[in-house]
Amino acid sequence: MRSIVAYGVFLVSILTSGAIHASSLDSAPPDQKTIDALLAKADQAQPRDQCFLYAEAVHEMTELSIRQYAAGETTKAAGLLKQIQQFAQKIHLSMAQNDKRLKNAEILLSHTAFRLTEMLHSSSLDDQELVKQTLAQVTQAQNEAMMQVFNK
Amino acid sequence: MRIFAVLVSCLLIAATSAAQKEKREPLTEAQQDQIAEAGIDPAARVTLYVKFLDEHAETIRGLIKRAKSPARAHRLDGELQDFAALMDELGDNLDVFSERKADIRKSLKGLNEGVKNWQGVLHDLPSEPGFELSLKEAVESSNDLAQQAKQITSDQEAYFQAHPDEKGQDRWEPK
Repeated sequence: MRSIVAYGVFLVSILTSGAIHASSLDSAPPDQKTIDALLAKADQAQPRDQCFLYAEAVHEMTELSIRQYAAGETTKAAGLLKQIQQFAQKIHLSMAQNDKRLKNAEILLSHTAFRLTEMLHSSSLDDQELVKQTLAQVTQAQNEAMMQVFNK
Repeated sequence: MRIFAVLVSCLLIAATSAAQKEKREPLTEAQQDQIAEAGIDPAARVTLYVKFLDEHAETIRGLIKRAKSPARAHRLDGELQDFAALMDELGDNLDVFSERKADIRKSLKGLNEGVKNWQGVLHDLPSEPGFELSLKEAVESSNDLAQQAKQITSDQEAYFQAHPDEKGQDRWEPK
């Protein structure tokens, strides 16, 4: 009986590993290599997959930017924020009602917006304008994703 | 009961590895890079797919002329599978771009010409047991794609005539 339960747990853990990955938004520390790989994957992907993949990349870029800013690497952090704005625009352009994992993309964008709001509150006055602009772009993309999910 | 669990695990692993073996990648690495460069640009993507399909069609045309052999049949089987997979992928892309009201009329012109050529190549290939199924599927894919391209072309002509301010757009924007 124990072996059946153990096996059941094993199977469930395999089947739900994707969901766990999606929900553990803050767990893995972000790095540029992962971001580059994600962006390459997103560029190559089929149009219905692109929105989610760009959202995933934008989320990672935001986390890295926050870390860089906290470590005093403000130029690098600002560079990433500018890139995030470009990719938020790509999310907007690539979004459609029948996109795959649109709900997950919306969750990622919502969390990204939340993290950018935190960054905004902790950043110096000089840096706030760029963070505000980035937050506005991400929020717009998130609202759009939410509307597409509701319209499904 | 443990034996049952082990058996199920083995079956799952075997099924996964078999599926992985069967999955073909119709695009080369260089072609994937070109698609990545096109990124989200609808017209550029369609143009690239047409180019890659032209290349596949030429390969198949070259194989038609060769003497019949098991190796030729095997090669044709693979080429036809890739050809059909690419046409289906292009069809999926077209669905998305037409939903978004992306202006892809210029690329569609190339596609409409290309698909006639591809249908011709498939028509010139007499069926053989070694690739009978792949040929049938490729013919079906080409027919579906031809119909889809024709439909989208006429839809787009009508749409952009009614909405001239949206010409050249990558997607429809709410006003």
